[in-house]
Amino acid sequence: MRVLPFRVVTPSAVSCSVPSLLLDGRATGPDERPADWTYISDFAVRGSLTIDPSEVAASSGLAADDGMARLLAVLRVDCPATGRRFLWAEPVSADHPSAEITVDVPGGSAAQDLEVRYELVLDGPDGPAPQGRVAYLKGSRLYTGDQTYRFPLEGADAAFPVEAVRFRGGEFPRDAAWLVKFSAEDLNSPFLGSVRLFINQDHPAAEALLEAENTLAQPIIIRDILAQMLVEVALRSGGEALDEFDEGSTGAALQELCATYLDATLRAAVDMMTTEPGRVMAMLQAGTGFLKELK
Amino acid sequence: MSAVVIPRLRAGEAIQLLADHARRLGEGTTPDYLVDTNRITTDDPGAGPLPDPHQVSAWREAIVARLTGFDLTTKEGRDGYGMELGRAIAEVIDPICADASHDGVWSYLSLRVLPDVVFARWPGETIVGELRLPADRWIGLQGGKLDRSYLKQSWRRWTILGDVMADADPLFGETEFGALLDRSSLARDQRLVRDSAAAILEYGADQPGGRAEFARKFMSLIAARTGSMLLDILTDQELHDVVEEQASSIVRSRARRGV
Repeated sequence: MRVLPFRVVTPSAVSCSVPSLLLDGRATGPDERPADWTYISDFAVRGSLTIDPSEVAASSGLAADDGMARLLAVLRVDCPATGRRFLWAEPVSADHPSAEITVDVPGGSAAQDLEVRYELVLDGPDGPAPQGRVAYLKGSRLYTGDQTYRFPLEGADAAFPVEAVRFRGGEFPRDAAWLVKFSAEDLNSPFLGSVRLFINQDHPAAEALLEAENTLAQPIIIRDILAQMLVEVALRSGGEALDEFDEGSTGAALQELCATYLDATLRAAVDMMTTEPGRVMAMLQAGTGFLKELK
Repeated sequence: MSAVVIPRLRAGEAIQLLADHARRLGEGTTPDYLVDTNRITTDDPGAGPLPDPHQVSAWREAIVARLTGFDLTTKEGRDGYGMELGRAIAEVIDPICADASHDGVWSYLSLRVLPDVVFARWPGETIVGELRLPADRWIGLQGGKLDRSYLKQSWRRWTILGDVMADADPLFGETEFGALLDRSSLARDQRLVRDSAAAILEYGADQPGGRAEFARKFMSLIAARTGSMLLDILTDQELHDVVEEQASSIVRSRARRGV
């Protein structure tokens, strides 16, 4: 939960439609790939936001003749891959509590996937600071939607990314069986973009490791991957909160993996990794069925 | 914007080729001998038309021609080389941003087209008789968003900061770039980053610790401000006022404390 320097709008005062992506007159919903999208396609993302004016006023403390008259419904489209953000804002008020918002995304500026969120912010001009921690500055974030809608633009493969390569020394030690590349820098980035498993195709066990149904090798790899990810998060996260992540993100996937294999939250697993690493490794053995050929 | 997409190497191919390059360089091969503009490959044939080898050679020649006269033993030379490289990629190849978001593009340019250019800046080190090239600088992280691929990073810096970074004297260094661009949510507001860079140039030099220290402190304040404010909706002038307010608050605070 984010603590802001002003009163915000209670989430129940805002309702939002599921946004859609518009390309060549066709609408596509979240988690669907738009047909015919190319790198140079111009497209738009559209959604609508509705407020309950009395609840907004009550929770935010905004005055009817000031703040309530300068509310903006915002639709924000982020493209993590290109590092670009696009947004549009439309006014909402007691008289016009709903707004349809369309964000244009120019061709060439988005790739891989999009993250779409709603916000309710205060428009200008800035007034004098009122009593009671009421927002008064233009841009004040009164409401940010909990839900991030993801729109995949390319890549149909949602499987765990595995690649077979020849390990030739250096970063890829010659006789190692596999190497996990994992980036813990941004736990809100999509999970499938932050992790990759490389199998050494010259290793005697390569064929067995690449078999999706190999019941002996799989738990060993899962344990190795999870252990490495926990170590990296422990090294980087410090004391930061590890409990709120977007759906499909690295953090959310780690939460689920920790719940499945360790029966613990990510925070608890990371803390344990720093204080009792041996216990975590043993728990991972137990959780993954390590060295047991599963039937 | 380029009319073609850039060829790509899959992560596995890039890792193998990087290891081959390291071995060959360690055996005494000169880096320009690693150039191979004839092999045009991609992992996504449907992405768009690919260039022919002649066009790739022309890219290479035009970029290499711009990178002469830098003394890479000095910080000034390295910073200038990186800036000119970013500008050259932006102006000569002019990648489609969507295409350039793929790691394979940068692995291809780094390993096949410009290995000598990357080697000049990131020659690696020999450990127990084996040359190791820094993989993150040559082919990026191959996963994750905070990519340190030298070519990609140079291009991205130039496309966001352009003339603001060209006006810097001395040029921006790694600390300043890190403060400006490493927070992804901030960097997506390119107006904010450009205004912030200009403020660092205006206020930072005279501050204790110099521009780098000022940039760190200043961008932390800006990041804190964006937690409660959506600065994207401000007009250019309003955004400029916010940035100035944050920059001058550091200056005033330090003046009060006599540091």
